[in-house]
Formats: sequence, C-alpha cells, structure tokens
Amino acid sequence: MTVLKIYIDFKSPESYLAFHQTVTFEKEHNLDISWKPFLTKSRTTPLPKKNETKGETHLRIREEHKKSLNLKYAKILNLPMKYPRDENQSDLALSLLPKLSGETKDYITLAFHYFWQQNFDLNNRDTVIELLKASKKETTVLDVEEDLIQTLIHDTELAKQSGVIATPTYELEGDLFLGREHLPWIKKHLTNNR
Amino acid sequence: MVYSKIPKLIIYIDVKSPYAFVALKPTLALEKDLGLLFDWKPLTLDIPSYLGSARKNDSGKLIENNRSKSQWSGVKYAYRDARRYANIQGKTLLGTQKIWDSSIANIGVTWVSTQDRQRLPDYLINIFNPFWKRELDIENIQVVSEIIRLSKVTTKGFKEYVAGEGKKKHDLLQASFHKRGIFGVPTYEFPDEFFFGREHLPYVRWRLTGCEGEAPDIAYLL
Repeated sequence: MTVLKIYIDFKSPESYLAFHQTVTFEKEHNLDISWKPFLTKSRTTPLPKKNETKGETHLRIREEHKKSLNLKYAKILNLPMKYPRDENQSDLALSLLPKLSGETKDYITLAFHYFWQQNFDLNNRDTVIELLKASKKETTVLDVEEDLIQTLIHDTELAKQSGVIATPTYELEGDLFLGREHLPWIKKHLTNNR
Repeated sequence: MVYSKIPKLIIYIDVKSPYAFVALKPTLALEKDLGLLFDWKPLTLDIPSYLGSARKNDSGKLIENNRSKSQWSGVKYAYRDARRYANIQGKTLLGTQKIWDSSIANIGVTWVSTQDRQRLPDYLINIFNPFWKRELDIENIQVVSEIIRLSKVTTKGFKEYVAGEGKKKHDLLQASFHKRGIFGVPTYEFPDEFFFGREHLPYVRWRLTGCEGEAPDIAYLL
C-alpha cells in the first residue's frame, strides 16, 4: 500500500477544503495516508492602510482573493465554511495529532468542523478536551510532560527544512506538492505505479 | 461547438512568470478546443515589491540577495513545481538568473493582438519557450522584434509602438490592476469574477461551455 504523507493545519482554509477531497481520493485509491501537523502563520486578511507599500497591497489583495475563492469552492464542494471573526488558533489541537493512538480521521474531521463551521478556537484547552471526547479519544493525551506546542514548532521547523512551505502539502516518494490541485498528478503517479 | 452567451474572457500573462509559462499550453488548448479567441493582455509583475530580489552570475552563484529565508523557500518551490509540469508538457524551464524587465515582450502581446490576432499563439509560443531555455534577451527590442517577425507578424512600427502608444497602454493597464484586486499571472477574468492560477481552468471551461452539470473543483490539468 502506498503511503501518502500530508501536512495540514486546522486553521488553513486550503487544508480544510483539501481534506474532504483527499479522504474521497484515499478511498478510491486504497491509500495509507499519514496526516502530519504543520503550524502555519495566521492568515487574517490585513485591512487596507494609509501609505501602504506596493508589496503590502499585493499581499493584502492576494489574501482577499484567496478568501473569496475558498468560499466559492466550498460552495461548489457543498462544504459549509465560515471564516472566524477573531484570530482563532489551532496550535493545541494540532499538536495532539501525532500523539493520538488509532484512527485519526474522526478527530481531524471534527477539528476542521469546529474551526471552519463552528469557529471555535482550537488553542483553547476546554474546546480541545471536548474535541477529544467527541472523537472518542483519551483526554489523558493532554497530560503528557513534554511541551506539546514546542514539539509542534520543532516538527514544523523540520518540515520546513525538508521544503514544506504551507498546507496542505502532499509528500509522495519524497516529492512535495502544495495544494489539492495536484491530485490529478498524484492520481496518475499512483495508477502508473500500480 | 457554438455556445450561447459566452462570457468574455481576458487572460493576463507575463513572459517572465514560470506559472504563466506552464499555463500557456492548457490555456491555448482550451481556446482552440472551444474555437474562441480570448483577450490576452500583459501584466508585468513587479516581483521585488512582494518577493524581494536576487541576482545570480553565469555560474549560478548568488551575487545579489534581498530575499528572506521564507521568500527563498517559496521561490524555490515555485520553480520546482513549475518545472515538473513544464517537463510533462515537453518543455524546458531553467531558473532565471535575474528578475527580467519583461515589458517589451509583454507589449509585444498587445502589438501582435492588434496586428494579427490569429498569430498570437505563435508569438506566445515563440517568445515563452526560448526565454525559459535562457536563449532570449527579452529586454532587447531587436530580439523581441525578431520573435514577432518569426511569428509572421509585421514589425513595421513596433519600435515606435513600444516607445509610444504601446508603452502608454501597458503602463495604464499596470496601474489599474491593484485597484481591481488583480495581482498575478496567469489571471482569468470574466466580466463578473476573476481567478488567479491555472488550477481554475476546469472552472473556466465549465463557465465557457454553459455551466452544465456540477461546477468542478480546482485541478492542474495533465
């Protein structure tokens, strides 16, 4: 069975949209997907400001465009999606991903649901406890002695050193692909190697 | 096939963009397949303003660097990514050694569109392909003129056009982009919405062919 490694962040809108498409893809291709946490920067769309540099304007309108297209494709994919008003984070929920035993798909599905449909802050301990319970995971995973967030930052740094720059990134036999738009390439590769 | 109420589609490109280069083949194929003539226009990217700048010498050594670590990571990924798609299109994509001023080559797009629109695909192929093999100095007007001639389009008046009306049109267009929310290439613009990136080509095709069935998700066409 081919192993496909995918780096995600629950607060990344592109990860949310890609997750559902990828789960369908996984079933169709009998894949073993390993979901890896990657802590992305906050992506709140900056407000226009006076004396904005050309570069700042570029980055702002680029982010605005991405947001409008993410909402458009969410509709096309029949996925409810609501951008949070506050700068919600995902650190704690994301840091638990490698610590969970057994199947993690329900946990990931629910984490994305909490963030993009309920607009919950996944860095809030009570919310994360609720998330663990709802996805039938032990809450004791939070009681470990190690600093979960520091480990997440360290793992993210290692991923960056291997070339990951954002999420979702698909890693297939050492090659990195940023975005679900690469699924046709990955599909072709898997079909040819079967 | 004839479709009723086909919305007008404008495509913005820049010769120095690797993503515009890999978008060229599937976009020209879509145009041909549907029997349409898209309105191709230049968007000359000001790369240093948002991605820093850098310059390499002939042996590939970095001799000027104004980029952060994360900007370099993004640039390296972009080239690697564009290169693998260029390869499956049978094309060569070599990394550029500097950030080129592509305005003359881009004004050439407007020139060819005005002089002989049917020849525009030839011009685009003739200018993009060798540029990405590092065979063309697109800042040299003689070189661009030669590509226009090779594409069987008149070059009579091109130099004057680049210095006058063509440059004026080009500069006015560039000044309008940010105000309209447009920032990169390739961009596909309908009268009521626009899309940055060739991953939207499945949706663009869906709109151009009457929006029948479910709208498709993003995908890079192979």
